[in-house]
Amino acid sequence: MFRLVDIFKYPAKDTYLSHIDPRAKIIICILYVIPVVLFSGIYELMIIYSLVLVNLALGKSVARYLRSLIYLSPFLALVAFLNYITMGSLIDALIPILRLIILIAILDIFFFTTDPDNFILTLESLNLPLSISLSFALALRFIPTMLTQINEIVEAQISRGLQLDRGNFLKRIRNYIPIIVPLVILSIKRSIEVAESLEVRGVHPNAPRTRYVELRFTSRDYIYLVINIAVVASISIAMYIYPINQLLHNLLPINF
Amino acid sequence: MPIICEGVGYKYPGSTEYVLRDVNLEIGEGEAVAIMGDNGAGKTTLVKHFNGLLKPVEGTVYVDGVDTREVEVSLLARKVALVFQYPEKMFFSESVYKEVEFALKNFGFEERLIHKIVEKTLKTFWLWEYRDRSPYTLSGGEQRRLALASIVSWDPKYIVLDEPTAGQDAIQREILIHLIWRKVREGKTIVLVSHDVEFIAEFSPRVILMHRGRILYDGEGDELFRRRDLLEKAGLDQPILYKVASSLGIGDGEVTLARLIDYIVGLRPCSD
Repeated sequence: MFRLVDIFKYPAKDTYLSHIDPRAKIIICILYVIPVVLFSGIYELMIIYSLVLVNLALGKSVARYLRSLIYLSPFLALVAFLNYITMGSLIDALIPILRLIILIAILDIFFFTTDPDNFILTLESLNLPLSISLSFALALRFIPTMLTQINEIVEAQISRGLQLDRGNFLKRIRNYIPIIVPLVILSIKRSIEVAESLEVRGVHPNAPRTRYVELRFTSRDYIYLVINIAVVASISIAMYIYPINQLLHNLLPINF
Repeated sequence: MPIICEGVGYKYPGSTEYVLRDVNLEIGEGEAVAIMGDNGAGKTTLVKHFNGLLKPVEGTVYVDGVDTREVEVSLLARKVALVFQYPEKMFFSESVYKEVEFALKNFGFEERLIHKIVEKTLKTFWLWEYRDRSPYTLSGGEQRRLALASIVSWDPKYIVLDEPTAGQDAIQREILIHLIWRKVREGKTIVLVSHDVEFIAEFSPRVILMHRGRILYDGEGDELFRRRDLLEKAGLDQPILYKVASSLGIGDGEVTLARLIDYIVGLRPCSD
């Protein structure tokens, strides 16, 4: 029912990107955001997009990214529609959508290829206090658990005759009470359980901690970073000096 | 008309591995059936087909002659009640009374009738005195009973119970067994999903043994409990009575506590 679960779950694939230091991936993410914000021509954005997709392909996550776009498509369509109404030109309406799609792909380079456990290490290596990094990581970790839980509750209540799509708008909202109440109660119970099990294992926010796994930059990380920075920088500068969008537009005019 | 599975195969969307493979079975009216097997054998997935929560990818499931693919779950649920594992997790009402009322309202019972049914059900399950309390203030055993009561209230023809005794102490287990037996005697079809061999051995109904999505055995429980090879394959232990009987060398005959006691007393007569 809730196929969203698969999109939030870390698939633990053995890919090139999953071996890259998460900090390097954060740098890459920031690196790609810059040209996406700077350029506004459709061809320029498409060139950046293809580079991002190459990165995603290194993490074998393109298919998963495309699937996540299907879930977002109603939202994207709405934004495009509103843009079209206010701006009046289809191409101007599509560029913000393209930007959004690229930004999602950039975030996915990190999230689809990083083990949630390493995620905590990354946040800590940015010198965030444990209470913040741990709660953030736990929140992320529990999204798939909660979606599974929602699915279970929905199945149980449907088996007791609940019909979610019955009645008018207000009634339909009320139909969700038998799902939300158990979900909230279960989540509170679980958070207490998690807190207790952390305490039992000696986690204390202010105590000094040692780490079993330490993040270290390897030559692989440096190569990945250098190649990406070199490619993005040279292409960006080239596009800045030569108005590629103009040239390509003359060759392949897109008019709406 | 019974529940019939014909060549049922199922895989979860997005997965390539079948969790149910070529399942053929028929559960008749008024029958008490236990579905047993190890973790991940596909027991829960199978029973979710009975009320249409899951639709088979291959084959067909018929409930009273109707293909489950052609009706809504809410219609089937009226006939086939499904009690999930740890059903007390799904409580949401502010009182025990309202928790039982919920399903009856969903199925469109008349207001006057609802009060009568809730009262009768809660009394049967020894919960009437708690009717105004929040379900979450009840003890574990009472919660499990309430979950059962809220399902039984609308008088479904088939009752499917997934691990009804999980996490219950001996006394609550006895009470649950008593309540379930009562439903069997009333002529309800009961399907029990469990890997608690002792619990099922007490019932000794027809047992369907599952392993890796296939049916390994379908027949008398008494016969299955003598076959250690099959039980081991499905990750189950032999019930204690059968173990004792076979180590005494009398495993071929009828296995009851009374017979074992007779036999042991016969071996060592009291000296006085």
